[in-house]
Amino acid sequence: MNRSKLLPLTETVYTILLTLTAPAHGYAILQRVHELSDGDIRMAAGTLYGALETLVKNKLIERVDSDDPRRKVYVISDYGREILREDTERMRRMISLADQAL
Amino acid sequence: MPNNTKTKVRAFLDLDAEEAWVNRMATDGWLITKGGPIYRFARAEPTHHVIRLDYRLHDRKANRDEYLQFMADSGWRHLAGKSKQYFESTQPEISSELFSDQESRSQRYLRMIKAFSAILPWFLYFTWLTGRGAGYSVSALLNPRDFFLTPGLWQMQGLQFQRHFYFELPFAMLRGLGAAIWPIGAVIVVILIVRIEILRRASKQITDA
Repeated sequence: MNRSKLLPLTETVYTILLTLTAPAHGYAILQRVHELSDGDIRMAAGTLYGALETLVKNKLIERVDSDDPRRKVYVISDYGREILREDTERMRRMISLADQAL
Repeated sequence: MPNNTKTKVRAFLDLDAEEAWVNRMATDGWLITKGGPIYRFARAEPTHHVIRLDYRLHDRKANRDEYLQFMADSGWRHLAGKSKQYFESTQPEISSELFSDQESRSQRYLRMIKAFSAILPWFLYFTWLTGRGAGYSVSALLNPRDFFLTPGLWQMQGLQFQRHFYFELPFAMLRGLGAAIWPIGAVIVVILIVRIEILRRASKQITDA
């Protein structure tokens, strides 16, 4: 078993990683989450801000240079991509198990 | 001339209780302009305000600016606060909460504990420092006679003793206060940390319910 301690990802983290496959600043992430989930996932500003700090610390995302010093821009890291893929695989297995059972 | 500002002194550790109070003040037409313990309020429309609290300390101004910019982008106007932050929603019908899960809400208390823990070593350091000082060390608290420095004072008798004793008493009391203030401060900080931890656990339990 070589599963990362970070798995399974919370819905908040999974969604943020998904939106950061392309670089974005904080508020743009909120908008993308809203669009991506058709308004289904409600992510509040304070929650996102804290999550971004944790994700940077865990090296799942990284900062990229931006023209606007007042708006930090983030993008998913290679490691983050790997974790996102692993968690997607995990959920795929869960879904196929559920499909068989239901 | 009508009074357009108001000062109130309050001490809160419970963020939810403080939030409720600040919102009640706003509904009464008093919008917060400075955080506690000495709060300032300014007259505002006594309409429905949605004010929410965050707790964040930023080590650099650039990080704080970025934080406030992000909150402003997301529809939260910063009203007051350097560590405890007070925000008002500019679109209360769309976003009325600063946190969308209980975990991130309770993490505010974790950041509070971190901030209080950071000042604790200073109290301990000054306790140790006064402990080394001649005349009024911490150990003298157990034997207050040591706060008096007049040579041979305790061998004196009658009027001579009284004269010297009462002359030095105010100075001895100041020395005692100087020796006591740091250990007392350390104990108070520890008590506050424990109380915040209790609040944090209570706030986390709402998730499990």
